[in-house]
Amino acid sequence: MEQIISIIGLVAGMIAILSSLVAKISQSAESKQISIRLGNSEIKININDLKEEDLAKIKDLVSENTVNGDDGGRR
Amino acid sequence: MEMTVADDSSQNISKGATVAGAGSGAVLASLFNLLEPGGAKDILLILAPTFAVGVTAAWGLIGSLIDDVVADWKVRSQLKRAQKYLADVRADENADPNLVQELQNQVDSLQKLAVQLSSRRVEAIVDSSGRA
Repeated sequence: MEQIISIIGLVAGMIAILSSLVAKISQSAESKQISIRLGNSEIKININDLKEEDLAKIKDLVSENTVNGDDGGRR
Repeated sequence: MEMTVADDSSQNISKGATVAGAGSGAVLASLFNLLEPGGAKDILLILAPTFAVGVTAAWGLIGSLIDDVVADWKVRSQLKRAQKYLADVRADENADPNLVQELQNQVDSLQKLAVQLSSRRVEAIVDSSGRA
């Protein structure tokens, strides 16, 4: 009997963890805006609807990165 | 790693953390309860809530990692879409040269960004405040 209760607890706990993960992934996938960072520079763009100004921001950020060769100490 | 989130997203994160923490506590307690009776079982059962609190505390980090992976995927899929659209437009003889140029700019920018992302020089993360 105790084993059955433990197995039920195990399954319920796994369902709770998986549902939290699925909720987090779907919340992230739903987001249209992404934030791109390099050191102290940060731009926010709507990746599904890129405008001229967004492209210019990306170019600036990337060229700044290439010129400085600085990874900002991340990752 | 820092993330920009709106108020409702913060609530979602803390709700997710609570559910994941409680779930992991239940999983661990159930697993430890299945062990043979003895010293280790009792100690692990007592420690199960501590592990659950650890999972709750680490949930923000897990969420940031998920945001990071999703942002990378979004940039790469947008690049693929733009490349395909550019190829389609180029195949059309009557295509507007301005449109071709615009698409080419978009593909160039996204390509550079994808390269920087793959070398991990630039960090992209889903901004939950910009949800649809």
